[in-house]
Amino acid sequence: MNNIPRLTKESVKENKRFTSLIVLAIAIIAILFSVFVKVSRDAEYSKALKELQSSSVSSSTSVNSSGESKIESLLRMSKAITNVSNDISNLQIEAKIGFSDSDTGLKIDQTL
Amino acid sequence: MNVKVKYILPLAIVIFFISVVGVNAQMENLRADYDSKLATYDQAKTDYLKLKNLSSTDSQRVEGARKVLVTSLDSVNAYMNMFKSKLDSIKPAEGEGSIGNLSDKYIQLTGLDRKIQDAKSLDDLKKCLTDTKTFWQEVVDSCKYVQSRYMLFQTNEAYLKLNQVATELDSFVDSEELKNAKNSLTSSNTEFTNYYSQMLKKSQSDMNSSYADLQSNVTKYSKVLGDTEASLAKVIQKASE
Repeated sequence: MNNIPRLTKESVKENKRFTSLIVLAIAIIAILFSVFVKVSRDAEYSKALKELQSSSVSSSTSVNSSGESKIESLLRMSKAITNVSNDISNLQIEAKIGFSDSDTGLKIDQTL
Repeated sequence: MNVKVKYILPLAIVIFFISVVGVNAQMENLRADYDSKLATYDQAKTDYLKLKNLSSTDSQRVEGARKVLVTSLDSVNAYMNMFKSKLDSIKPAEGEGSIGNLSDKYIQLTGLDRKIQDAKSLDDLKKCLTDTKTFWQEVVDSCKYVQSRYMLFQTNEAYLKLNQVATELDSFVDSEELKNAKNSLTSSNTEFTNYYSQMLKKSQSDMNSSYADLQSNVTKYSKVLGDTEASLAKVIQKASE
């Protein structure tokens, strides 16, 4: 029984300091690990994106007679379709409303 | 998706919507102007009726009546402006000098306004009132014709634009969806072209009397146009991926 070391104020303080160091070390390792994961993922993403872009560009950069690539032509057509879509919607509204002068028209009564 | 599609397409859509909002705002302004002129005219008419009941002097009645007629012409002018902007957006058919007679109505309006300003008595103003009523009916007929031509022109333009896109897409894409859309567009376009050329031969009064028929035809053709446009948009979307 006499061999059991007695807890002194000093040793408790020492233990606390040691525990804090361990927690701090774990936190630093966790942060470093997450940074590493993020960086490696970003690198992978950039690599994949570059590959995708280069393959997409190679398939879409063949130009037509007016010097326009496939993707540029598709963009222009997409814009044209959006314009037509709006024109058609307006047309449908115009056809639905029809022409009426009874509600908005000028009603000149025999006032004089 | 390509970077260009990712950034330029939304930008193009935003610019397009801004321009659409601009055009709509212009039409809204014309409409608001007409409504306010109509309200002024109604107020002038109410004021005049009160004046008449209060046994006012003859000169006061003449001025009150003149005000009613002048404001009524303002309303007619604002009404005409709404259709003038539509008229300006359409092109005459081949061999056609100008569309309808709405432009002439502005000259007549000025003449009528001068006549009202020069009227000395209530009898003179009564004649002006009769002329204004006739003029208003003529304006309504002119505007109705402009509206018909506007709808026909817009339908034709939509066919032309969709045909252009469909033909161009054919060189990029080989899909069943595109073939079906093209077939449907071609047959509907042929039908519409026949109808359009028949309508262009009609006089203003003939076209106005068949307005309901025109309205249902435009509704029918715009439905086909809307469906084809949606199909072509899908084909473009797939080709862009």
